[in-house]
This record gives sequence, C-alpha cells and structure tokens, in this order.
Amino acid sequence: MDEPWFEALRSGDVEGAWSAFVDRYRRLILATIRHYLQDYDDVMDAFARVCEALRENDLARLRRYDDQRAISAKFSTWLVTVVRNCVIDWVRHRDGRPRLTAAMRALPPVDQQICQYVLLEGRSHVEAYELIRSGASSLTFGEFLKRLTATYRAMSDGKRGAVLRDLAGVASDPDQVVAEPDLPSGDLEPAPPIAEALRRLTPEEQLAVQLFVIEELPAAEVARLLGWTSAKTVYNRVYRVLAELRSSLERQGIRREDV
Amino acid sequence: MRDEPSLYKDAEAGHLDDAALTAFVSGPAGHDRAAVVAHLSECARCRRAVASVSRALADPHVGMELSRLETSPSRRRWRWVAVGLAAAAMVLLFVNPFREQGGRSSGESPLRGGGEAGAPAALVAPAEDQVIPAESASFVWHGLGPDVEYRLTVADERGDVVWTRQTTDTTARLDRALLHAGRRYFWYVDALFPDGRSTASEARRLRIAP
Repeated sequence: MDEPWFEALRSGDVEGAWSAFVDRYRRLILATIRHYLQDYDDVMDAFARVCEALRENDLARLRRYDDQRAISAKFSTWLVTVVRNCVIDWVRHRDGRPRLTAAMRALPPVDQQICQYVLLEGRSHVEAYELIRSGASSLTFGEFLKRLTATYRAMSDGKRGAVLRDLAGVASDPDQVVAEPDLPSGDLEPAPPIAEALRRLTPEEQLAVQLFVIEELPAAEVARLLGWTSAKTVYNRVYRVLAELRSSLERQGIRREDV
Repeated sequence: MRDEPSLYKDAEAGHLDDAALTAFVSGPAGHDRAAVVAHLSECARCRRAVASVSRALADPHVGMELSRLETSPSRRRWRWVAVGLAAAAMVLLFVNPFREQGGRSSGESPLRGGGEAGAPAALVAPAEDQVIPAESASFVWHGLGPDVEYRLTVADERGDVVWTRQTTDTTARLDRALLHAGRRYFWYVDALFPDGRSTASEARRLRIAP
C-alpha cells in the first residue's frame, strides 16, 4: 500500500499516522456507520468506539492489516468490514451492557422489551416471553408472538434493518419467526428438514442458496461472491437446487406446511 | 515475502477473521477459498457478516466514499506536486514579473475566482436530487481562482465511476450515452491546486428522467 499514513506507521510515527488515517478515512467510516445506525448520537458514539478500537495498542489493528496483506483485499473494503464489526459490537455492548438504540426506543414498551431480550441479549423467544411475563405483564404467548413478529417487521423496515439483520439474523418472512418460537435469535436457520437437505448439497451450492434465499443478497452479488458467471447462473442453479430439495422432501413425506 | 495468513488467525471461536471476510467479499480470488466457502456454508454468523458487509458496500453513500478514495489526493499527490512544480517553473520563465497581480483573463468563466485556496468547490447545478433529462446533463460549480483545475466525477449508486472529466473550466457536459434513464447518480468535484493540494466538494445526487 502506498498511503502516506501507512508509511508513517511503519516509521514509528503513530500520531502522524493516525492523523493522516483519520483525515483520509473519516468519511468512509461515518458512511459505513450510517449504513447501520441513523440516530445522530448513536452514530457519533459508534464513531468514537471505532476510533478507540483502531487506536488501541498503537494502531495494532491497522498494523495487522499490513501483516495480512497477502490476502490482497483493498484496504477500504477491509476497513468497512472492521467498522461493521465494531458497530455491531457497540450496539450489543455499549457502556458495558446491551442497551436499546434510538430506533428501538421508539417502539412500544413491549416491543422494546423484546428487542432487549431477543435482539440484544440473545435470549430465546420463550425465555424472552417468560421474562416479560415475570414483569407483571398479562401478555399471552399468542400475543407475544404477534408482538415479536411486529417487532421484527418494524426493525427490518428500511435502513434500520441493517443492524438488526446482524444482531438477530432476521428472517425474511416474519411468519417464520412465529413458526419457530423456540429458536434462539442469534441462530435463525432453516427448519431442520431443510437444513438436513441443504447439507447434502456441495458447500458452494449451500452457500448460494443461503446467500440468495436466506440473506436476500441480489443474484448478481451472489454470482460475484462465488465467482459464477452471472446472475442468471445463480437463478438457474439455485432454483434447480430448490426444486431438487422440494422433491427430496416430498419423497420423505414432508410437505411445505411441515417446515 | 510474507507468510500467507491463517483464515482463523485472531478470530473468535473459529469464525473467519476480518481479513478472511474481506478477502471473500472482495471476490473469488484468494487462497483457501474452498475452505472459506465450506465454513460459510456451515456458519450462520460468518455468512451473516459476509451479507452484511456486502450490503454495506452496496450502500450508495458508502460506495460514493469508496469512489472518492479511488481518486483521492494520496494517490495523485505526487503527480500533482510535479504538475505544480512544472507550472511554477513555466511562470518563472515566461510570465512578466511586473504584471499586475490578481487580474483575471477576459475569457474566464464568470463563476471562476473568488474562492479561498484550499476550500472545496461549491456546486451550482444540478441541485441535490434534481431530475434531469439525459440529453442535458450539464454540471456547473463555482471556481476557486486561476490555475486551479477541476476533476468532475459522476458515479452510479454502487459507487462505480461512470465518467470523469478534468478541466480548467467550471462547467462540463456529459455524454448522454453514459447515463441511463431512471437511474440515480452521484457527482462531485475535486479542485486540484497548483501546489499539489486538492479538495473535494460535497457529493450531490441526481436522477435521470425516465
């Protein structure tokens, strides 16, 4: 890399390197944080956390990039990855414990509790329900599931969903959440029969299905990530795999409504 | 020669580390790719991280900053220092030292001049979020004084540079064939000063009429 801040870092001028680095990358860092967070105070707090993380131990994290350059990724892409991880970490643990973001605080009280227990603390849905009930709430489990679905839907709406997808692995179809109330929020995965069928695919095919169907990445992006020729290849291969999965499940007597 | 890094070096609990995630998101090249694909097919957390970074990179605002970095001063600094030095030498050789200072040439754009050296160029048109017909994609900005060059950059929503034009004028007209109806683009202007410094304007969005 031929960037002046890196040359300064190598020559031992930590403060000079930091100053040049922030000058050059401040806007990218802020744009990345704003992808995940909207509230101004949240953005500024997260920015401070990112800077703190990058500055630790005389810019150890930036030095580590230099050690890993054989991977040959662009520094800016690496920085976006690091900032994303810092933001997710900050949302989960700011001030030392999980706290609601501004977007979460705008929700009704029960939904805020769901955010706290399920999204931030990573509790199962049933556990979250029991905790809410123990707070003298008369909420029935059916009502809880409706609030849970509404919370996922609200927090997945628009830009706010970016960080929530990461925190909870929000299902693309909120009904899926209702169908599996016991599933721990951090590990939302396909239902067991589908997961088992997926395991019979090659890792590349599994990943294509997971990125395209579950993570909802555009087909063109999935093609780029997997080195496939075009989005059309993704459509062809994923839909063929899904058709095979459907046939396989049907042969086992598993219908759509069973999963 | 550096050692190839471990995919899991410094990573928690066997998850992909920042470098491995970045390498995967950057494209299909790279060592141990099969191992990374195998890991991602099994690990929801890392897969979510890949999708998350991919979405962040596709965010138009992030893309715009990435695009700006691609053409930012650190990469062209020395080239412009050289240009600046050459320009200074030409001034010393050919310009009458007793010429009145501060005057503007008669052919100068009415928008040129008056700007403080080191300040970014102020954009005039199109306005933020303006919808414009493809056939009249003209860009106008305020000048920052004589001897300043400008680089206009138009990028698409992913941050990929669609068009760039370097000029001493404060207007530029874009070839209509490069813009697509209904699409959104970003544009900004880098001011390139003779001493090698440069400044970047704000970035504005525009949309091409359907």
